[in-house]
Amino acid sequence: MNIEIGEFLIAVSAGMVRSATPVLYATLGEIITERSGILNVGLEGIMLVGAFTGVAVTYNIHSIVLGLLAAMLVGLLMGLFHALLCVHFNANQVGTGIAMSIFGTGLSAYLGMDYVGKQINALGACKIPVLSDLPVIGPIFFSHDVLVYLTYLLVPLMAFIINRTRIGLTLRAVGEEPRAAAAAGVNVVQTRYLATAIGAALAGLGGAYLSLAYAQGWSENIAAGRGWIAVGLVLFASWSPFRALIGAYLFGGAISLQLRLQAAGLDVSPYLLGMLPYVLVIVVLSISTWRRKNAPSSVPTALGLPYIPQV
Amino acid sequence: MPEMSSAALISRSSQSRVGNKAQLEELTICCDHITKHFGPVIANDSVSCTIESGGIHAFLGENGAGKSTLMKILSGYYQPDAGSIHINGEPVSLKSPADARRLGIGMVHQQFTLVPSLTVLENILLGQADTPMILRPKKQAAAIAEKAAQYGINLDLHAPVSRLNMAEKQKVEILKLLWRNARILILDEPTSHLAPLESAEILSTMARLSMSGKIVILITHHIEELLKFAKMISVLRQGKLVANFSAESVQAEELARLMIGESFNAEIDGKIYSFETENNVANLELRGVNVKSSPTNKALKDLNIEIKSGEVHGIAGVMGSGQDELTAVLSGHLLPEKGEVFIKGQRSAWKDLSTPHKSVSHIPADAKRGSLPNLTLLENMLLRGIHKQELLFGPFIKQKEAERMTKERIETFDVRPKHTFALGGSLSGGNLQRLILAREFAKSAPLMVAVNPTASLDLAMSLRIRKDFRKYAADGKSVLLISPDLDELLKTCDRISVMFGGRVVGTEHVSNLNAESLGLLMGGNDRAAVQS
Repeated sequence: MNIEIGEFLIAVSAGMVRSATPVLYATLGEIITERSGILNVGLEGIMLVGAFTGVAVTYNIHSIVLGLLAAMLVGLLMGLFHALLCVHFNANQVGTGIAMSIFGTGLSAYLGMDYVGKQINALGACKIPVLSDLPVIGPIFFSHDVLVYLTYLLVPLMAFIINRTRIGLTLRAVGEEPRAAAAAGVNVVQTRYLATAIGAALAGLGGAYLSLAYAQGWSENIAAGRGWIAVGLVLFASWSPFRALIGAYLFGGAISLQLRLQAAGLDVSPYLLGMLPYVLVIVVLSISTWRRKNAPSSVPTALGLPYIPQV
Repeated sequence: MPEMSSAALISRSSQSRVGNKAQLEELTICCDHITKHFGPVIANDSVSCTIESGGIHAFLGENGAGKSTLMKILSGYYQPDAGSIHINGEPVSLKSPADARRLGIGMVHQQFTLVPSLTVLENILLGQADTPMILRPKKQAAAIAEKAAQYGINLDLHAPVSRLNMAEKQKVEILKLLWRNARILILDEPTSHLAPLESAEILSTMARLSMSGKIVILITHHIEELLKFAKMISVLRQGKLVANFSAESVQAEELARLMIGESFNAEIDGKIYSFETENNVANLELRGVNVKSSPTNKALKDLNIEIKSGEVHGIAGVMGSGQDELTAVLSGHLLPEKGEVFIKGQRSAWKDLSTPHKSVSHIPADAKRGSLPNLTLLENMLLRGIHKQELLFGPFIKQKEAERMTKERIETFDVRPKHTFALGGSLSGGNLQRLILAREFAKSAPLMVAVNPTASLDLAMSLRIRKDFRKYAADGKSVLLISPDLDELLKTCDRISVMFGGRVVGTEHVSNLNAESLGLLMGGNDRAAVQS
């Protein structure tokens, strides 16, 4: 009995890491974007277009690497478009982002009709020798695919870049006080373009992970709100990559748990179980963003505000 | 000498080293017939001057005299229509701020250009071409600290800028320029928001810099400060350079006359009133007011103040003696824990902001806190005057009436631009202050609370506002003037109360006071000691 519970928990945890990965990529990307002061709430659309592009390219060219790269490229282009509207034309960032979401959802559904149910060469697991043999930790963390392992490197790397390098310093300054940054000789416009493009490329990669590794195929609206969850998780993470990891794992854990419970034949409506991860995010977000009076906020000061240079 | 620390000795010896080097390379910057038009307005009219290292060179002038334009030309923000600039005799071309930066010209603007959430160190490294890709906070801090010590600047490099006071922020800006090897430093009104002691500290740092071979240019309209710290003074009026002389050879009054021109009248600077209000009723009375700043610390301790009708009452004191809390209590932002506030003999039971709005005019220390940047001048003017019935028709604003009233007030206080539809945020600090003065004077509440009201104004306007305070009080109303400028207090008030550690340590008729005795009281010495 105890062994069964143990195995169940290990299976749920391994599922947690896998389910968290697409959201984690999108969240990390959004952290970069928002640190530069640009809000991109179009992640859902970018993830969906990325997911579709990944499947389409992999199916037609039979290269999963090209599929992933194409998804990133498409995400990057969508990010550049968002930056063009928000940085160059000073458009309202929330409005532009929502439009981007709706556009991506519709476009991917339309183009993806022919790909529903098509078989593709999915990204396979690649156990890390030695580490994957460790009890408990091995199956949970080291029996997945390459893109999961990449997040283990990406999270500390991003934290290091943001906090300890010149690029990170520039990024933070641009998101906090773009005028002061410009006065110090920083190119605010270029920084914001780059941050938005890179952030969206990561969201595209997250989308491709969904279709190429997680669900292993295309279905309409495959992201199922994960892009929106990522926007919320950035708040939970207070713009820190490590906390983004925790947030993504909470969400992934809830998804994994409800799937296992459904599979175990629990007598609860699958629709109710399916709500679980989203309800969890709402609850966690409300608690974690509740601040004590006068506690300093970590929101980038210039987030969502257009930058208009001073004469 | 024996009590001097070794650190001080080191910094002293490194200073003299800098001094020696300076004698080798003398630096001059020369403006040759600089002319700049903005549309029909001449901002600089054929200005020629030579600026040298070896002492602060100050540019004095009223708002709009063309000081800022000239400095922006020197730092590459504007290009002159005619004229040329030479450094050490070589003609230079300053097409952009980046050009100026390359030539070692750096400017500290009135509005700080620091990122508050970053540390001092990060702010200095930001945007700097030779900052390495991977930051080494300890190593870089050590190098910067050495540079800072060389010029006698003392700063905690790891503190976030948001926690620094104004003087420290000013020092960060200066250090930023020094770290970029600026040799020509331009400071735009560096002391307008500093307390006297802080100003002196910044100015002596600047004087030291100028002695070590750098050119230091100071823009200001504060005459006393200049006479103490500057070596050369140039006076600009209406775009023209009207005088140029060494600070030792000139008197304050002469400078004021040159700066303002024909209309200068020394009379207004003198005392224009006598204290005859002894028997008047009290417009404001504070009895035993207590305010906590934290659970264990009291910002105001049993504060008692009485202000008669017809009186201009000054509050002096070093910064942080409780002036901010006193203002907050009077403007209704803070409810006292204990004690009572009486306005015109009525015990005030302020529960919200509406009551003080009707009975207190308030001029905050920072004009930005008294106005809204995204509202027009008209709307800003209505902010605190909306209860006036003549401007309302039911719930609607009578647009024409309001427009007329706003135009009139803008005209009286010479707010620029003169459009009622300009946005509050588009105004310069001085003009925003005029807007607020216009609004609060028109309210004619029984009590006016003014905090450092003339800091951002030029001399002519400051003199006028001081006179206006006297007129306001002469109508049987009262003014509470909180100012770090002792000269202003002594020339405007009937009585002055000195605050120290959250208490009033003495209230005295101005005729019994002078700057020295005020200074002693402000330092916490009691009255008996001062009088003896």
